[in-house]
Amino acid sequence: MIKDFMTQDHRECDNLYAPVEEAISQGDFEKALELFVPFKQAMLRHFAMEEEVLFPKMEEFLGSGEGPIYVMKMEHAQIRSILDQMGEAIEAKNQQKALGFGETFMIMTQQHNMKEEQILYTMAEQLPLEKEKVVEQMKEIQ
Amino acid sequence: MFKGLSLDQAPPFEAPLLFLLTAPLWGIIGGLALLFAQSQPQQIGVLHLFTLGFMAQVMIGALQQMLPVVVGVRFPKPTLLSKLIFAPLALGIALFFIAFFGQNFSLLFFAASLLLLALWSFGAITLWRLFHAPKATPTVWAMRLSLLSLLLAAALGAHMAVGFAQGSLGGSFDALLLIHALFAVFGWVGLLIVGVSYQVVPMFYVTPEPTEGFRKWLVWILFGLLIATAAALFFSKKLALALFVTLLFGYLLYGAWTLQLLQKRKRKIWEVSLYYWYLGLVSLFFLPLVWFFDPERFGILFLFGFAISIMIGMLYKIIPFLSWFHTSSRGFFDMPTMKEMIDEKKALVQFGLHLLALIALLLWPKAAAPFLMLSFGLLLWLLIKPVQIYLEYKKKPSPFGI
Repeated sequence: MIKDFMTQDHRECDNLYAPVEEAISQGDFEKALELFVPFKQAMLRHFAMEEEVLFPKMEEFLGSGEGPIYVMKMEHAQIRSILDQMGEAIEAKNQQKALGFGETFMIMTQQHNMKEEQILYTMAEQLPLEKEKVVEQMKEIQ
Repeated sequence: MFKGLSLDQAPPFEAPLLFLLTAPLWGIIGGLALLFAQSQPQQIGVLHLFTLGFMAQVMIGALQQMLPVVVGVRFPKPTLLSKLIFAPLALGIALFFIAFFGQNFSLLFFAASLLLLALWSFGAITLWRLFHAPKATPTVWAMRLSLLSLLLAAALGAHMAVGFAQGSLGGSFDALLLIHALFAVFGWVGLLIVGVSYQVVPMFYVTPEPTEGFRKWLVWILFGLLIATAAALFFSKKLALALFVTLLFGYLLYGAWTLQLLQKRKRKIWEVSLYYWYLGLVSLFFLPLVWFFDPERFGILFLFGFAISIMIGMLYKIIPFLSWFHTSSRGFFDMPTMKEMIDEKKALVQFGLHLLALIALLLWPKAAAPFLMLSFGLLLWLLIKPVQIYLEYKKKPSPFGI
């Protein structure tokens, strides 16, 4: 339930990203920026769903500290930073930089998603969480 | 419930890098040696510079990196383990080559022991980890079966090498040789690429995802056909042949299916790794044809056209990413992006050289030597830059004090 919902959200973010990159590669920076804004919003919303709802719920059982959740948050910080830099590069119409940050973003995010989908969400499913409630709460995040 | 499970950052860069960055060196030496290889033993020596030197090293390096991501468990003491496996492996490859190339077969005792030590310890540790995966995804199954194939291929290889050293090949040598090649190529190499591609193709290029059922079945069908082919060798050559051709079509199915995924990809950008994926997958289509006309060349097509192509393509992504990742993890945000680390135009030249090497290998192998040396040389040169960037930042104190 949590796993399917969150995995689906990962895919939707990927789908929003692909056209941004295409617009940059075509040199259409206005279109790229137009597409980048909702894409970045979707990414930040996904992080917020995890950091504000899912992770605290999991930490009730796993405890906080330098565990897997901490590593995931660190990676969120890395991804946020690339997103900021990518946005700046699009605004500055610097194609090479924007594509470079795009590629870096993509691989960073994909390996991060893989870890979440293979391990973290599987953990969440196995914990005695009120899953429907967690998903509902996550959906409320704007 | 989750004891020992950590999503810790990947192993230190140095652990996989030891294998990944030295792999192209074997390719360069292999190209050079090809110029002088005359006899069949010499060709065996050269072949293994590519299979053990380049391919196995890339696969071991990549597995070290993939395991924490796919299974959530990393190797114990990753840097030390990496060195402990690398030393006997590299020495074993060198001795194996010298033994065959210089026709000094007594060296094969040492070569076989070192290679067996390295490959079995790596294979056993990784398999053990893989059998403790929290969830057996199709990728995990492909990796397990691939590593089982490695253990078998390595054991048979060592057994035959010792036979060479003793000057007694034994009556079943031909069958053992075939089984060794079958499991090394279509088990260890093939299944690992299939399993890893299940993960990386949808993710890197944003392609649709096929059902888990199909992915799992394909892995089992390929492995089943492999076992059946090997078993049939002992009682009916004709049956073995039929099963083997079916296995080839299994790989062809995999190629066609992955190609159509790539065709539907959402990331439309063309980049060097995609050229390599297309070359690798398209090579699979020609396997039955080449095999029909020239059974010796078809192995070359699978190894150089399919496997090595995809490995090079992935190296262009893995090394700059890891360099970026490990630097950024220490709090630096001003380093070059992945695209700035690899000169795309030169990488395309490198792709062209690889393609020429492949064509030459199929038509007139001796002519491939310069292209192989240039292709692997340029690859190495291009991959060194991201590593240098990583090392430069490593010297600087972290802004976060990490």
